[in-house]
Amino acid sequence: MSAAPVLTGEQVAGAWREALATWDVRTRLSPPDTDVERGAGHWQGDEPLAYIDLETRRVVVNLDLLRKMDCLDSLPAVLAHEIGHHVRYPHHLGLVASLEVMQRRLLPDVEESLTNLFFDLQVNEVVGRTRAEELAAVYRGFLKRSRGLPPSFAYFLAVQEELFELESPILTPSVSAVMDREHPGWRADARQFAQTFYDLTDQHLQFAYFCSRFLPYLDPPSGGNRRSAKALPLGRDVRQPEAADYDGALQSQAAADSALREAQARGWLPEGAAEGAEADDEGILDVIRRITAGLPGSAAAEFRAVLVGSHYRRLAERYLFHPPREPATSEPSLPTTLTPWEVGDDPKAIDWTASVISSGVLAPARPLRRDLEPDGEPGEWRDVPAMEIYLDTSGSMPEPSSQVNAMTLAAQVLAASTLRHGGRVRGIIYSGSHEVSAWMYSEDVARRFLLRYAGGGTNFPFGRLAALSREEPRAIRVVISDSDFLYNLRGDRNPRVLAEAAERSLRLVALLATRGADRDPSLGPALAHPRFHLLEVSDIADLAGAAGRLAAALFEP
Amino acid sequence: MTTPPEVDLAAIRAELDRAPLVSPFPHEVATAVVADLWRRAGRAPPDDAAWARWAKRSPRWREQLGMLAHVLTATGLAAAAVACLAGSDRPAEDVMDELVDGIRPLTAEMIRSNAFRQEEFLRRFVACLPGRIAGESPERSARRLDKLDYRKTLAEYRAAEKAREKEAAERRKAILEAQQRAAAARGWRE
Repeated sequence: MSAAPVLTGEQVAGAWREALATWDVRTRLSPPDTDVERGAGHWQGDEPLAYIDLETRRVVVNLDLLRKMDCLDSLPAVLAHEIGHHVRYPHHLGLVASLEVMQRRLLPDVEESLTNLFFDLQVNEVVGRTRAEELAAVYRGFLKRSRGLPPSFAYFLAVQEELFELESPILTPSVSAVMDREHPGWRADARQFAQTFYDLTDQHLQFAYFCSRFLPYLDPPSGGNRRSAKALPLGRDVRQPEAADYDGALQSQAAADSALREAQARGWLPEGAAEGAEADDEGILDVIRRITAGLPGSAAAEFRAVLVGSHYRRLAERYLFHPPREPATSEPSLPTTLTPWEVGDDPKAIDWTASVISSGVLAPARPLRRDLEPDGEPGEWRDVPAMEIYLDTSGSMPEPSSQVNAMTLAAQVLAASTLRHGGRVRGIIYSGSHEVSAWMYSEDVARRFLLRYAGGGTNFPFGRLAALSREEPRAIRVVISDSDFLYNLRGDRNPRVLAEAAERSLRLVALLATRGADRDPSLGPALAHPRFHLLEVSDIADLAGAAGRLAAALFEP
Repeated sequence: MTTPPEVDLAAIRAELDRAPLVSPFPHEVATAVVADLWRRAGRAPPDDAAWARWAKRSPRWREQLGMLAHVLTATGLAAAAVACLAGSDRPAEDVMDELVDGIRPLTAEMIRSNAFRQEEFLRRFVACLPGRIAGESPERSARRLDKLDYRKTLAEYRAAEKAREKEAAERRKAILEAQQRAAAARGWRE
């Protein structure tokens, strides 16, 4: 026989109505279902006390815990708190993502996200206007069950005490005494915070202020130089943004940049902090790593792959050539064979030299014409180009998700260019061994494949090059590497294999981050072939730009 | 001594929310608006010398007087203030002396935009008249005003920051060092 529900349906419904009235909004959420028994295994410890189940769109509350805390009467406040996160704070998950990105830039030391705490301050200010005592009861209940109190929690509760005129304080004298000793002036700090924070209307500026004031109360750095914001009651109930939300936040950080500059101007941040927090191309990869660090293993890898892929896509766009919409036609330049000129033909078409050679003194009576015609169609391969990209992913280059890998980026540029011209791409990534993709027709698929990385030695797969060139002779082949390629080329057979592959390709291009390769004797046989091209880039930073120019040369008429 | 009249602070603040400040009051007009409170209460307003003395004493007096005039004309505070002044024999100069000192650190922008500073401004004016806040005991009003006291908050805050100067410097250093560590950890550059 199951235990009686902690509260009746009518009681829960009444609390729900009161909670909705706090926000004066309509919502599609439903109140807790008292008939659904959720055993101890459902709840991991005491958190979350409440959350929103997005599948059922129902608020789920640990009523048993509320009973143990002796604050069942606080149910309306708890429900109002959850509703507040759903309808107002945060207004949308894009804002959460934007603030998290801002936090990772400003406070790279802090391990966990502070956004839930930030939004709790805002939600509680509204809920506390009418239900301050109910909220206070929940926090008092947690304090009774907790061993030790993180300073950040004490500071948070002190802010609540400053906001609301409570019958009795939330914090106990013993907690206050510890805080007085370890963080002198913390009460004045909390008062100043409460009287300043809610005055700020811009959410990014508000968050910058919040970070600057809460930082001293977070746990000190551990061995890994990371500070931790321990879980607070009702402190893990804001939805996690999705990859698309973070991608949008990484793409546009103007609001955060502006807020950081203003926070610095107001003296909330040390001089140089706003500039130090600027996320360049490398910095964004760092932010992605920190955002995904807290996710469970498999989820983190996929999340990171999506965000890194989007970042490389944006980087590649800088180097892609955007052709005009109308197809360009070639200018006529190729002379045709000679034919007799007749009255009515264009006199300018007369080739007098050929006429004199042919007819001598009778040339004026029997002139010959020679027309010009377009230099043929660009070639069948221009209509549907196929490109094979041989990408060096050895350890001489960084892992693409931790630092911008110039070779990977160059490959992305070539792949995107090919695909946007209606072509197809095959990737061959190599290091000690190699991996070959199928023909790819989608930028997303190609981008993901070309982001793979081995980080081992360099061993160019000449055998594979020979086989693939036999299999598909009408492809453009591009090798992206550095001086390691020349090292691999040494040997009796390899130079010949390269030259033969050029013979079986529309073009074979070696895009190398090196100098003086044309003087390398191993490259001699290939250089002698008209379809082999060597592109050297002395500054590796120019690889992507060179790839963009190569793509324009290959595909643009 | 009669009990001072009550002032409905909540209603006044609600009215103020609905009455945005369009442009600052000229100083002479603001002075006249405030002086009229005493005239309407059947009492003599402060003399010219007193007004000049207050302007000299506080650098923010002009903007504060402008805000007071705005509140008096936009809400029911003027009527409530007249009732308080009519029932009191406290000299006008004493009322204003206390007000000038009490609101010294408050700027017009603070009073206009910060809910706490606005509440402090209004409570202090009512306390000086003197008046009572409707629905509150005098003790509660005193506690609330003490909590809102910006001079006290600023002083405590500055003292705390000074005591924690070392901690604050470490905090600033920690933010910058963490950012530098993150930048250095990227290592390989173009």
